[in-house]
Amino acid sequence: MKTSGNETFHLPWWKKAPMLPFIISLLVGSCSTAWQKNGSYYRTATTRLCVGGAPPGKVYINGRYVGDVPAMVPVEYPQEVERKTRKATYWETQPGEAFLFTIASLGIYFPFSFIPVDTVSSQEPLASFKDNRFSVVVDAGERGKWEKEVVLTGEEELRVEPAL
Amino acid sequence: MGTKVHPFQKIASMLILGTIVALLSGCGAANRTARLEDGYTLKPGSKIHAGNATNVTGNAFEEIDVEKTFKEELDKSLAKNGLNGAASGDGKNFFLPCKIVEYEPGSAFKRWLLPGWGATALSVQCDLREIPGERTVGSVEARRTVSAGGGYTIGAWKTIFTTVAEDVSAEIGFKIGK
Repeated sequence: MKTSGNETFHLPWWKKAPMLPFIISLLVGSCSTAWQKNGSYYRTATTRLCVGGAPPGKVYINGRYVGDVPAMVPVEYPQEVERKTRKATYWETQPGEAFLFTIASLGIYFPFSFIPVDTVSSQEPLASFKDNRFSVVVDAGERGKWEKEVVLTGEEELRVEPAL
Repeated sequence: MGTKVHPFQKIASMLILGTIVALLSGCGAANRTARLEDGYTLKPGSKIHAGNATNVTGNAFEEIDVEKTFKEELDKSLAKNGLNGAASGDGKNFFLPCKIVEYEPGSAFKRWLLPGWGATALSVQCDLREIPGERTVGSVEARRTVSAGGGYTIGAWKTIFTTVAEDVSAEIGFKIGK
């Protein structure tokens, strides 16, 4: 019903319905909390260390013989992973079930469903490593020894070319 | 001759039935992934031995020894899936040490009161290592939550260890011979 005199503006309820998803998303968004750090742990990171080029020789990593040039050796070291958690509504974590509970409870659950009680967790690998320095030695016999210290930071593969 | 049922009644009864089923089974989320080194395959006949589980949650739990419980459940589930024992054929032996990265015992009463509140959660990260040499050739991650369900989920703080261990061994079993 619309009246122009007192500027009263009423929309029938079915015309307001398109706004419902917007209102729900606004409520869901506003109810979430920010990410909070929740400690960290270390997991194994692996890098393929490729020792190539000439001349031929024996390859040692941290004093351990790993093969002859060219060699491809996977090396492992601990990488820090940060745990983060935040509170979220059930609409965010289980929207289907939240809908089901709303219907089954004949709407009673609906206002309570926007309380952020569920926990969402995330694990983010950090650029923080332990024991990630490796000594690479190529022993080419009479042609001499080549030595280099490499610092690995989560690369898939690292190539080193000995120059003797 | 049958009585005529209003379509709304049909939909309502289906939704209520769905909710009851959901409540009986205990609602929650499940995620699991397994990654292997590029080009690496687990050959048929490969066997897995559960390594020690380490609690890296930063919390101590008085009601349950999380490390011992998870290792025992992983042992049981690997045996159940025929992945335990000595390798045969082209298969190799592997060792599977796990880290418990998240554990929330939760509360069935809270879940009954408000779905999502008092959720039980367990998340693990396991390394797959070759025997001998202990070279890491892959990893498995699994997470489960029980976030709704009330009275039917009373023992979830303990049964979640069985479920997550089964997820880990199922994921590895799926990779063997693929």
